[in-house]
Amino acid sequence: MPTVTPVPSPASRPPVSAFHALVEEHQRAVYGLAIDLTGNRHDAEDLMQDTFLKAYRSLEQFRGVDGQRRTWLYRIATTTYLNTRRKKALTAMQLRPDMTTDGLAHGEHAASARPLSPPQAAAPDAAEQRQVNEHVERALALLSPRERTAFVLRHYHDQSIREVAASLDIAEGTVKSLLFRATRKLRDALSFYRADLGLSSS
Amino acid sequence: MANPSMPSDPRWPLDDDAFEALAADALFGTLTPEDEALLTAALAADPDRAEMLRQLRATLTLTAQRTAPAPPAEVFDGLADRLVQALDEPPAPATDPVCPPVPRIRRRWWERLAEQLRLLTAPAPTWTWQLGLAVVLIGIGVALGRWGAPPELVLDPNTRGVGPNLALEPGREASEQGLQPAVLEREAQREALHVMDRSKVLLLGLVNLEADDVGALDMDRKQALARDLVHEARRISTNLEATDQQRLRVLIDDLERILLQIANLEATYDLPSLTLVQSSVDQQGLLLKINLTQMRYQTNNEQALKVRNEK
Repeated sequence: MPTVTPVPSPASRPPVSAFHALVEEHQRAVYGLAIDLTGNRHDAEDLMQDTFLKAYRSLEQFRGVDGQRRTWLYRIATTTYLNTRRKKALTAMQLRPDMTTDGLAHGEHAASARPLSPPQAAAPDAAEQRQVNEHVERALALLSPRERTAFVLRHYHDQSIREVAASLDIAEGTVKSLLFRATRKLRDALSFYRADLGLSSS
Repeated sequence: MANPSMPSDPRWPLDDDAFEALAADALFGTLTPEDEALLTAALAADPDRAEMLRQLRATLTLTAQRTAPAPPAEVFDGLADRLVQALDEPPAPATDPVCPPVPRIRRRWWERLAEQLRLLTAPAPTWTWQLGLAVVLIGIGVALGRWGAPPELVLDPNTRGVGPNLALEPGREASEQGLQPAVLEREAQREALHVMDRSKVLLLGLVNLEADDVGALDMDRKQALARDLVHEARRISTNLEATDQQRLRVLIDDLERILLQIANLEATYDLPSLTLVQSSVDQQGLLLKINLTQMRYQTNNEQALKVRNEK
């Protein structure tokens, strides 16, 4: 069970300037992880804010060197995300991946109700990229929270297996198993990219 | 004499777990030279595994092409200041001195409203929600049973619960069987309750499904059941047309639409579509309506039995 650190009194608070510096330096990285984990902008913003608020409360207890702060923040974000998913698993299932920032929200329900469809062959580059993003997002949404977390941390945020294991509080062997299963699920979900994945056409 | 092609590693021959660990190392760039030799031998000995690893590598190449959406500029505008301001806001009186509530950044009213709605319509409420809902349901059921039951809703006292004791021939509408209207109505009610009971089990299984459990879902069986129930619901709805049970008929029609959605799911693990089904059940309050209807009929049934025994 995660321990909750009490809010420090103003007198015992870490200096605001240090917190400012922490936020300024890592806000984009933390937001990037948050959007990869949650798949939508609003939850990502909430997760980022919760992460920094929790970080602030334990800022003075952080003993690592500056280079480890990002990993430390990632760990807070990961734990917060998994706890939130545990508490509101089904509510989270209702959320649809917000594929782009230019406002797909109005069509999210209809879009996500459709099964994955193969990409158009002669799409222009930008549209093709957007389609790949959309398909990968949907495939990521099929992973369990732990599989997604392990995959996102390792594949998109370059965290080592050991760091992923520490973030998830599991053994390194379990991380490898999660990564393998996640990749296999993604292959199945993206199997319509037959040429890219080298799958037979049958 | 040992086969020279067999590695001396104690993990040889690789079981699935050992292969997955090595494959993950290979895929994510953490394979040691010793393990690389072992994996190479394993792949040479098993072309299926070699093919799988090749496909998984291609999957990673494909997923690496994804670009995360760029955050809107306002997300980071004065973020640190807003967070500090949130920390400075006086916390609400804490009930737990060790764990005071986390100060939240002020949200816009429509975001708060959306959050409330999302919580209210959550398909799987927490135990407190469930407990509260159960108490409300029991209260409503008792109230309806005592004061709100029209006499025509009373079931045959010989019928206990909502079992499969069907008098109508399956597959035939009641009007085709030459039954009296009162008998028709009673039998249609009983069939409706039976369909609701079976559908409830199906819907509860889907509504309480968590993302992690989708792989364990026997969707083919559920879809076959949904198809059966669709046929039954359609027939019962027709039978209820000529009766006074129009509310019951509307509920059966709503149920039929949800069952159709389930029956028509295209992929076995089509999570987004399953989520849509969950939303539909939730938005229509279908389970609540089924529970209320069942309680209403059950209470009326018990009252009729009591009256008959007193006589």
